[in-house]
Amino acid sequence: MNLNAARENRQFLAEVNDFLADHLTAEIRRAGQLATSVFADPELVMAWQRILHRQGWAAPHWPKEHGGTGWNLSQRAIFAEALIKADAPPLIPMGLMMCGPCLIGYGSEKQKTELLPRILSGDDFWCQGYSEPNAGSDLVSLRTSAVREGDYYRINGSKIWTTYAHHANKIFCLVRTSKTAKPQAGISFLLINMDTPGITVRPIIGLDELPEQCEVFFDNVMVPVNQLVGEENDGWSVAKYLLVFERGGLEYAPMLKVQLSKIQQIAKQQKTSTGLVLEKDELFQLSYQRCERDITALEFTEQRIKSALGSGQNPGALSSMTKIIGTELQQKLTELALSCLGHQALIWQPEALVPKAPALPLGPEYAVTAMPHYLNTRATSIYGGSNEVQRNIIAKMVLGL
Amino acid sequence: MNFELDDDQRLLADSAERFLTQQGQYEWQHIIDAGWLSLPFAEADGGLGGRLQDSMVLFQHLAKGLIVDPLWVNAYLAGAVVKRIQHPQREQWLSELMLGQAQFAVAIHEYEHAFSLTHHQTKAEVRLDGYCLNGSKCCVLNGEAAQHIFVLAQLSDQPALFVVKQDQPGVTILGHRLVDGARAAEVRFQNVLIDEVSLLSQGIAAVEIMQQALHESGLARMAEACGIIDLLVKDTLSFVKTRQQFGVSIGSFQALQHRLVDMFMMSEQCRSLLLAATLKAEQLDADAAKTFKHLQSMVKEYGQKIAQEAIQMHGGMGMTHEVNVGRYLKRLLAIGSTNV
Repeated sequence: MNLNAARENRQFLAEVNDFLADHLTAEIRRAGQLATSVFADPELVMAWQRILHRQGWAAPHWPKEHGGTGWNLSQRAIFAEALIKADAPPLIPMGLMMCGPCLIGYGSEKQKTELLPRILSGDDFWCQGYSEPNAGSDLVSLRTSAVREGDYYRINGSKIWTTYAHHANKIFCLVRTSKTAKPQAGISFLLINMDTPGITVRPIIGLDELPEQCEVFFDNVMVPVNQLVGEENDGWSVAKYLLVFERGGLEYAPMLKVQLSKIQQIAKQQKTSTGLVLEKDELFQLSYQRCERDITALEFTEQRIKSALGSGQNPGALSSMTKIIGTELQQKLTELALSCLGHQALIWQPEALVPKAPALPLGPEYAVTAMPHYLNTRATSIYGGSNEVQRNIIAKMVLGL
Repeated sequence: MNFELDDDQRLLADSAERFLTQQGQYEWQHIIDAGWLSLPFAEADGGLGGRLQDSMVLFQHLAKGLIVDPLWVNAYLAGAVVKRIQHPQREQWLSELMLGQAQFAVAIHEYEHAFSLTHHQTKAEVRLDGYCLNGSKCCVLNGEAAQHIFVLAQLSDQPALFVVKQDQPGVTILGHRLVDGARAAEVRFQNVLIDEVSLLSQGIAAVEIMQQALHESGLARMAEACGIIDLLVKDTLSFVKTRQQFGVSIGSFQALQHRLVDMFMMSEQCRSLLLAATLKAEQLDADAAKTFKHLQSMVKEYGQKIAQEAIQMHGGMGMTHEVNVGRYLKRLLAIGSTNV
């Protein structure tokens, strides 16, 4: 067993930090600071992606032949952590983390050649059409239908919780191509242009009053058959592969550590009713230390999984565990941030969250993001497979129940 | 990072299995024969030069035997003190300790000073040729078997560390059981005269020796607790898979499955923090002491929660000694409360 970071890792970190110092502009950094979810201001995030792409660093987790960096696991972790520490806005995951890996695993040569470079460059903005009003955790019961008519599918139905559909030019969808087979076997994975006639997008205003999620309606939308990924009726295999990638690709501890240190900064600036610095307050300390404790444990749980994986293996059911623990901690941290702010957290000024907005917020900036962040973070235990579904997976796959 | 066991660590883990008696215990002679008493000592001191992570692996695997206090108190708690002191008999003590020829104990706590290292009711007064000790210490693990007892006492207004022989006039040992079945003792001192050389350290230095000893030995104790936590999860899983109610195994109920998943995740988090605390201590990381405290708090909180859930899921049987989960709870309570 060994904790030591190798010398070459330190050199690599220096290289990354030099790059960030030169290329992460104040404006883009600001988009990262003002983000109240994993989805920052789309315009500035895409600008950041183009900068990373010019450096060849847009998709470190992709295989090298498709535009990945060829870094090992620890270099990828160092890179991810450096970005978080520098307040870089997270890249939008639908293309890079979700559709891209599916195409690499299941796409035709033509699809890979045409689409992968456009994902990397940001020329295509993808959204994910999975959930439906009656198919959430029970995704397999989805009903949006694709009926074959010659060289086309005719699509009817609707998708919901489609993040940033109002910004996207493409959507990857799970559609029902057969009703006779057992539910999993009748689903196909289809790529659709958002400007195809018959598609309507309606943004959903969330608790944080920001339009992040959307509904997408399909009314007799005609999609060429060659937009299928994988075999007809085998879309569930493609989707499962993607779900594993979505869950396994993420490490929570680095992000949580940065969030916790921001809370500590707030607690240094606030005073309790007795004039004590909040950071020294016993009740604050109790919550704070507990969070720090749990984050350190999660950091090592993630390291253990990574160490066992070696390279390229499927993280499988253990990524369900880090999803549950990571998202529960994210939620706890937003609760702690609120409790540090008292009344200030109630001031509602979403207009101050727009990076280019001229309006200066009332009160300190950290107070402006705390409430929307808290509200938005309720979603973390719902999306990406709800934490209840993750517990079902662990019960079955790990505990053998 | 690499978390694989190396060959020596695999041998240690195997030896823990090999020396477990059919009654599921470790006997003193086995502990001597296995050579575990030498593990945490430097080769220069005649030990095996084991690292903290080696002791961690050993104690995780010793957990099944439940009471490993004679090993832990001698080689780890008292051993960590002996390593850090100067005394004419230090080398002799080390050699006798590793061979199991002499036993040791460390008397820290008092009834009204349950956690204090800095303040003690037990008092030492200066005499012409040494000191005179009065007072009493409680919950001294291995206190009955020990020939040498390290004692924290107040010397004028400072804490001080002494060594006292069990058979010295004025020393009374009142042995008793603890909740987990381990043996401990109340140790009373009535006008016990000790020579000058038996004052080992005083002031901040004495407190630091004790803090370091509790940190180093505490990691082994936490490893044992993590081993017990794993056993609790394992036993409970196998129970719910076989126990039939309403015509099905109770493990098929989602209400229990999600709680079992939480038990599993808590046990994994404990194991991770054990690794973090052990490796950070080994590398003298600036956060080592803090992470150790975090580990103690997590093991106490999660361990108790897991054990209580295990008893609940075992139903009435969990309230008896017919199954092991109650014993595991008692052991976790003992580990969580003593010497922290």
